[in-house]
Amino acid sequence: MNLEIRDATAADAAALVPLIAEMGVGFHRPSGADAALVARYLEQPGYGILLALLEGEPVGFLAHAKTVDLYMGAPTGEIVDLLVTAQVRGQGIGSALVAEAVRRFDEAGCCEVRVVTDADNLAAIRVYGKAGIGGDLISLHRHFVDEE
Amino acid sequence: MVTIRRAGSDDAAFLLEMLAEAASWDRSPGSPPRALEDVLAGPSAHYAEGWPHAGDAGAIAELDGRMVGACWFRHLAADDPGWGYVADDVPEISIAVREDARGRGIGTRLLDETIALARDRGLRALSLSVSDGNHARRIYDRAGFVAVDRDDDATTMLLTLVDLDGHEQPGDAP
Repeated sequence: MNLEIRDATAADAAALVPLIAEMGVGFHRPSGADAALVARYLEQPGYGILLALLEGEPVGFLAHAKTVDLYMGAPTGEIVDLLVTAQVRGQGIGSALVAEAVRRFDEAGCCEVRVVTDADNLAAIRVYGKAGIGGDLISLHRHFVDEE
Repeated sequence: MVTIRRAGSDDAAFLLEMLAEAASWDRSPGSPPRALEDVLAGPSAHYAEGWPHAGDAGAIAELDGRMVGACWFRHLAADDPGWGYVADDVPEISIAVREDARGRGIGTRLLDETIALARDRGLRALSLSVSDGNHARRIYDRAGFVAVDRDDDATTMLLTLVDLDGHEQPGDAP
């Protein structure tokens, strides 16, 4: 298995769009992402996307962002989104993306890694747990779009 | 004739034997069967030692009255995780069938019975870890287990039984 993890650039924006859309499989709202939005995301300081390429083909990504923990006076790393395309799941690609993100957050002096995921997404919980990311915080949110 | 029954507290010794059988799945040259005492001294022992722990359940297969296989699940927590650890409330499956009793569908029947036990208890999922090259992988695929992660030489698989809204997931694959 020839797996490469690298930073996405604006040239990858179009390839990322269908992967982003795949996060919403089973959800009634279509994705609002297009290549221009992805390119703008990548341009923002502190934001980035790790791209996973299997035999040279984009098969997954991890979007990340840095914020600041005011109390600690240090950056925090957030895993914003993680997706591995359905056909190649279970091969450790998600774990490889998470491990690379964690390594970079650590290197950048982050005091914490944060992730929000569905409590019933056990595959994601397995992958994050293996990277030492766990806990019993709750995520509170309010949607401004119709979720039903 | 093959019969499947629930594992009870009297089956502790047999489950340890089956654990050693499971650890000896690789019968290629250079991979001799693992001795029970070696398995019990190694990192796999926690899958069966002290049977039954709270939350343990499983099934035993008998062929013409002789015990030939077992499948069971146990909760292993994050501070002592199994190879296929997913979450504290997701128990991990172990399974083995004696070599001379294979090829009769006993593994599938044991797995089905164990999944039924998990459903009866309202468990939301079961997990397992299967090494590369282990032919048991195909019965896990057929039962609906899905690969969710990999380590160096093994795959972690997950069978979701109930989602958080309390909806039962579709049953066995058609």
